[in-house]
Amino acid sequence: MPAGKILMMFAIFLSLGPLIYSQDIHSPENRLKFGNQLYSEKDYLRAIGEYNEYLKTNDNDTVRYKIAEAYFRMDKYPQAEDNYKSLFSSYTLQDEAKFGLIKATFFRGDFDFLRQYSLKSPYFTPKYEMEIKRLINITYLLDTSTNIEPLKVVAVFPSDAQTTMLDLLEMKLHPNYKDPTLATVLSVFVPGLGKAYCKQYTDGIIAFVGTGLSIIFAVNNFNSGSVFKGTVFTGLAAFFYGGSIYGSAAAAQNYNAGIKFNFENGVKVFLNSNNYFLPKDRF
Amino acid sequence: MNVKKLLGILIFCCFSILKGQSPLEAQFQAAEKLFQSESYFDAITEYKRLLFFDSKKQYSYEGNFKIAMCYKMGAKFDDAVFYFAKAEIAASNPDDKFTTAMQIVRTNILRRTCSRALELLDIYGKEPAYKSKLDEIMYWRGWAYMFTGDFENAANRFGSFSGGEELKKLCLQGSDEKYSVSFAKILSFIIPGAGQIYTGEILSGILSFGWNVLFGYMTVGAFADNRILDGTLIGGLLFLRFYRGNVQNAEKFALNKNLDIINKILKYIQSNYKGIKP
Repeated sequence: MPAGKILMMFAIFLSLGPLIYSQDIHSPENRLKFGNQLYSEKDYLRAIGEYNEYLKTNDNDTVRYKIAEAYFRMDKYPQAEDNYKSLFSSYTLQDEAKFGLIKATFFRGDFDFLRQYSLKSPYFTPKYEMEIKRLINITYLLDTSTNIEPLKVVAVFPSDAQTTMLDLLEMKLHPNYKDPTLATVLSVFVPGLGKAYCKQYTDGIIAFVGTGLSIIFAVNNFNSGSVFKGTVFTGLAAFFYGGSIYGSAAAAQNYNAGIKFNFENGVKVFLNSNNYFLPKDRF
Repeated sequence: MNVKKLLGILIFCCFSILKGQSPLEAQFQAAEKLFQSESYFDAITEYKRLLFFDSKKQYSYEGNFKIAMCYKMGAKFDDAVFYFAKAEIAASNPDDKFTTAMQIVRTNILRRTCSRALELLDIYGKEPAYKSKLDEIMYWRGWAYMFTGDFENAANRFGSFSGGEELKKLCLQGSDEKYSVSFAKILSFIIPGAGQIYTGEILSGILSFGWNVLFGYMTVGAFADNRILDGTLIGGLLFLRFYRGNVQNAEKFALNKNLDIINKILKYIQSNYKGIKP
């Protein structure tokens, strides 16, 4: 080969070298590597961006699945569901994708869909049958349904979790609520009794003593001819009495809100501590 | 084509390679461009990409510092502090280290964790390497005090070096405008309602004064008539309840008014002060 040609090829090689190298950072493979790094750092939004760029030139079910998972972990359930659906025909990840969709539906709060379709084709996957049943049964703790058979509901859970599940279901089915009407009526007849019924004993005693003493002072003052003071104490008695009635209704509502809050908090702590009985993440 | 010409082309190619950017440098420039155009989300992505492919950790300081700045600009202060800390570790010279340390302090001031900012300033103030930077440390100490509403201390700090006069003046103004919480409480202890009137809540002060006088009069009247039970109950249930409430009210009003004053001054500084801000 003549020296001229060799020099020409060498020159071309040198010119192209940096160009090829400079594109390397943004090559699909490097985007995938960088996306995986972002995913492991829980920077999901940026990871999705890198994965989508990678998918422009490559087809990879694992990457599609990770996009769905990234959306799921960002609580963007509708987008997660769309991406899980696109993997229903995947050879390797269709079970995970179907369960992923059910999982996303559960966290989106669409319990009707979950109960009706999650055990039917095309959503059902035998690989995750137990997990699906557990998610369905958890929905009975989270919604307002009362037509439940507790023993059947807890049967699909691990034995060490069944007692807590039963307790929570009992709290849900028979909450120890106080009747606001009854509390109000009780305070109409005996000031403060409604509050005592709602277990606010100190407030009940104060309302009773306050109303009683105000009435006594009002009567005494009227009897001794002090009309002004008698009027002030009458007003005070009315204030205590009205406050006791209104306060009793409010106390019953507060008590019920407390019961509801404690129940919901208990459910949340229990489910979070068990990670909603979900299998360990593959990625 | 003769060999001379080809040699010429070859030399040109070699020169262009030598002159050309390395891929990491090009990546850094691309990220910088995004940062300059305030596209902070994309800038973070590109700086992170730079750091990921920078196996020799050449850009460890700049990359982490700029990521932190982007997060700071986006008011993501926790993330900003995290990346500033990484940049501080990667900093190779005392100036970069100090700049990053001050950025951590400034971010703490912005996220209102001023006690942490003051703690850090105490530590940096004792560092022998930062002896020549004491004015700057004092400057940010003044800002930290200002954000907590401690205008007296802030004014002292700004007054301790040249260039802090404008901020000192503003802090003294804030200090004058602020209400003394203890004074408001003491006033209300002595004359019910006076603390509220001192904080500008005249109607509340008059009402408080009226209730206390009424129930005080009734208590004294009951004791004077030898109605001990009446006096004890009116005094205990009504007078003391209103008297205590009056003191608590005075304290609450003073605290709220002070918060308004702090926010007003900070807002003024934000739009009118030309010097360096956190």
